[in-house]
Amino acid sequence: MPYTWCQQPWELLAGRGLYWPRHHALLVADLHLGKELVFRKSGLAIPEGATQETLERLDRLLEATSARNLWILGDLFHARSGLSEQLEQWLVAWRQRQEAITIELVAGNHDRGTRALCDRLAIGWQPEPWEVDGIALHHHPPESTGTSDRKGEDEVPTRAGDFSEIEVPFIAGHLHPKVALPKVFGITGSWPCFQFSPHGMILPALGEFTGGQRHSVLSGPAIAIVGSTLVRVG
Amino acid sequence: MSRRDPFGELLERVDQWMHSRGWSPFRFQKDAWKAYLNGCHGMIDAATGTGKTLAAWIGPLVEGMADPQPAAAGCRLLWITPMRALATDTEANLREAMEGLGVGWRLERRTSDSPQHLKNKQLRQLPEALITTPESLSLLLTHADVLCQLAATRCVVVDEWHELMGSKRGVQTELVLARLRQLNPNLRAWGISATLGNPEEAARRLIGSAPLLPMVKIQGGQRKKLHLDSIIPTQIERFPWAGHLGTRLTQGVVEAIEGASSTLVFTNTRAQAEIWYRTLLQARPDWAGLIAIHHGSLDRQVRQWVEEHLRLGRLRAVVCTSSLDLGVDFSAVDLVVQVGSPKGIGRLLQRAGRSGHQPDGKSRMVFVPTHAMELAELAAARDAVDAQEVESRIPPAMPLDLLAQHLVTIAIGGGFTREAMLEEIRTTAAYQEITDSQWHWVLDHITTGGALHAYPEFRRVVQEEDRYVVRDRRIIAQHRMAIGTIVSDAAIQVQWMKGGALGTVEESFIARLKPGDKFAFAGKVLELVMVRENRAYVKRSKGQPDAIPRWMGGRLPLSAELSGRLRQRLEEAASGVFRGPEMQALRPMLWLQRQWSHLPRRDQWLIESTTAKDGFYCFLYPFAGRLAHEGLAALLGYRLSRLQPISLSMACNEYGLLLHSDQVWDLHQAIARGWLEPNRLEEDILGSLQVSELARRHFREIARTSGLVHPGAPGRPKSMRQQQASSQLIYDVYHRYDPTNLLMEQARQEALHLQLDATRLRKVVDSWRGQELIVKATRSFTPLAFPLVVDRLRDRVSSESLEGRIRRMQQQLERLARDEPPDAESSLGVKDQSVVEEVARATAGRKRKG
Repeated sequence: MPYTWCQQPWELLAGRGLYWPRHHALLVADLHLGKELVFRKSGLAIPEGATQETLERLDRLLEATSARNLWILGDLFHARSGLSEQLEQWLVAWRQRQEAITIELVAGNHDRGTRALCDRLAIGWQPEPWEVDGIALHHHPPESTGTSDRKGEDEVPTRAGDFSEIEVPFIAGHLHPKVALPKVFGITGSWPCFQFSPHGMILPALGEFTGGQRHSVLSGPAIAIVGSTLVRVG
Repeated sequence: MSRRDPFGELLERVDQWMHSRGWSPFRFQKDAWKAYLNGCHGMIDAATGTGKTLAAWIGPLVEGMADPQPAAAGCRLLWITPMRALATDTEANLREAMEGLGVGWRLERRTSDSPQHLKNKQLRQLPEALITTPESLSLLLTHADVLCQLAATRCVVVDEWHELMGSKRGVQTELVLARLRQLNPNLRAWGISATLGNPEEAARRLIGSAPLLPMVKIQGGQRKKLHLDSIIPTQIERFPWAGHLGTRLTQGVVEAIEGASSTLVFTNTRAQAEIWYRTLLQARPDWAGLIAIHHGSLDRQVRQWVEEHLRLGRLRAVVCTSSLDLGVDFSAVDLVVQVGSPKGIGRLLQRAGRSGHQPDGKSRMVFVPTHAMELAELAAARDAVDAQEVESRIPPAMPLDLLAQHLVTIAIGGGFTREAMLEEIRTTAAYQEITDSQWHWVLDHITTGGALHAYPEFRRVVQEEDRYVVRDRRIIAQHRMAIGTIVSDAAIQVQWMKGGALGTVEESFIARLKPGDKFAFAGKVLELVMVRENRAYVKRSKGQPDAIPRWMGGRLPLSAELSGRLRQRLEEAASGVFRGPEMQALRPMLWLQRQWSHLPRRDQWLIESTTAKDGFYCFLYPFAGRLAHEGLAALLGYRLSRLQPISLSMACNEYGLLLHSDQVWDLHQAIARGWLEPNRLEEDILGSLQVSELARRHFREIARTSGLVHPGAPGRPKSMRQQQASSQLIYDVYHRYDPTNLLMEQARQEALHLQLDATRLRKVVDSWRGQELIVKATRSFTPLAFPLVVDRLRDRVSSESLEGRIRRMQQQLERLARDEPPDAESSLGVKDQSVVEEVARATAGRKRKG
């Protein structure tokens, strides 16, 4: 779905990614690879499969867009404790499949302690915010006067702000935004979405095993991903 | 028996003590004491306020006097209560008798409210008598060092067993009892229960499948006399619809409250309680401070304040929900008002019994119908009360989530061996028939993380030689926090800006509100200021609220017993017999139903159909309760869609269901092609989409109970956040990567049986062959059909416009019934059309809105 934001054309993808044609770049956020391992380590019986599925999703996105760059807006991994030999093997195999792609990571709160692995996988490590072509790429969305003050980094602002005081428009992840469809669609539940304001965009979480929340931090519309369809809400 | 003599003298002391209090022991109490002292299990069937507590308590006390033991020997008696709020009152009652008889036991409570220092003290040395809840007792089993003290327990009393046995908490109690029996094979279990339709099952669940001791049933004292009245609206609508009638009867309720000293006003939902509290205050502003509201979503301190003031007789009335079904006796309460259908006879008796606690007091209940047909339900309830016909409580079928939890509990509390543990859990009635493969699946689930793969990194229960134990301290801590089966909905705490909690509402309700919106909660009008970290901050406001929160869950269907009696009353009406004021009031409505369509006898199945401008309406009336109707609607919709491509919308109530489609379909042909056939019933219901959606919702409780998600306890260490995932998410992952998982199967079965009432549904579908099928094509909506049409509209139209629309529809149908005698078929069609157009307009309105 083509979308104009900040006077530039973008492509929103139902596979939960954003394509930036001007830079041949695919932007994704919140993969949370290895999450099921972290769960199992603490005694929660979660079956295998989500990590591979997430990587396959990424393959499909890269193939569909023919992107040359992959920019990951944080939380590539779920936790350092979820790194295992097995996971590294999958990732190495995946990297070999995608060896032509340049990958940069704006490290998120979950990525602490994974830098060495990223180096081995030839994934560049960028500071937050990473400014590209007048757009600031964040993991964690910047503060706005409209949002609450955060006490800890995992707490999330819950009021919508328009971010108009922010000078550089931003794209971020971290929030795993979801939205409920208006009743008229006759579909219940909430769906992963892109959230917009004139100065900000939040990406949906790419990870298969990730939840989400419905509170919007941005004042603009949301684009919901319902299966393979994109639906504008608000 | 020779053992009786040593107790004779002591029992005389009990007599003397009771006489000194101005009481004399009832026959059933004496029977209970003797049976206990003779070494029997027992079940006491008695209503509250009739001396059931002493019936169970004196036996163990007398035994204690005859056979003292050093305090260090451990616990002698465990008293399990379903509500921790009840524990304080129970303790006072037990203490009075204990001290009166001069027994110097330590008598203490252990619930989640108990202070930590007391709990620690108890772990070192249990008191002789301990009052606790199933959850707290289960938690106690994680402490290996108290097991030898628990082994000294001679008696477990389970209070309000009827309340526990129909839930997973009851199964949890069964598992704990099995463990205690393992520690002491001579343990006696005594249940205290209200009258049930299945007393045999209640007894078997309590004492296990292979009891070593005999069981004695004690029939309690005289049932309190019950005086039932209903407030009958001056004008009965022939086209009733649910939910609006009640508050129009406010004046009658106000008068009833004026005539009593203290009243409990029971509603069926928390939202209704909020509405009624406001309505009563609007009618009598001078009652501010004298009436209060009480329901399960209010903050505990708010509830405690209300309970305290009720006990002291300071409140004229409390509007409440099932939150006050059980609990402390409020002796000042002399009237109970029931708003809306009581749904079951047991529940009606329980609620009515909350009034008239004075000795030889009479229970008085005033019934307020929320729509006209509920008057017939009350008439039916009278019949059932006279016949003493009470519902059964059906325990859940072998919940594996709870077994997983229990096995981890035991593994923490000293561990278990495979064979001995299987034998132990098979002594419970709940798991008597667990198969070896189910057992192995649960063991694998907690040891290797799954039956399909053994994950090397999975750590929960580990095997050390032949013992299953837990070593990881973090897992032990997590598990202790998670014990229990009660799952509250994802809740947002409502809190004043200045501090101070009011209670909780569902997250989805708050998500719809904007700051500045007003909503009614805890009997107040509140303005939302902001939402932050699972808290909604509010300030006091005035005027009309924009919204009233609704809470999911807890929808009891009309019971089979009550429904049977209701059908009997309708059958009488069909033959022109209208007994009692309620049925007399309904006469015009039922007459019209018979004229326009049919009033079904008990051996008849009524199906109505009517064609309207906006499509084809088909109504079925099995009278099997809302849940079974939802299941039936899913089944019939699914089957119809396989016969022909069709798009249906549905509505259900306690009496019947509606299938609506844009296009006309051939009802007779569908029936001929097996639409109502009992074959492949379960498969077809499971095939319908609805079940997977319901299973998803049910998985929440299962995930929580089996320890797949951690409860969101306040003050939880941050390190645990990385293991947080919603049960929905885990359901999706299971669904995708491990669909044969037995917990998924349990979710489907629970959805089927608890949500869609599959047992009753099966009965309905099985019964139709033996019955006369009456298919009527009607020219307009009949009085039975009308509420279903409204329910269907309600889902689609905003509430402001709904009321006006229904009124107009009602007036048109009423005119039709009045002006044109229904048996004269002359110009029916034309008038009918205007009604149909109204429905069509309402539906079109929805489309425009979208």
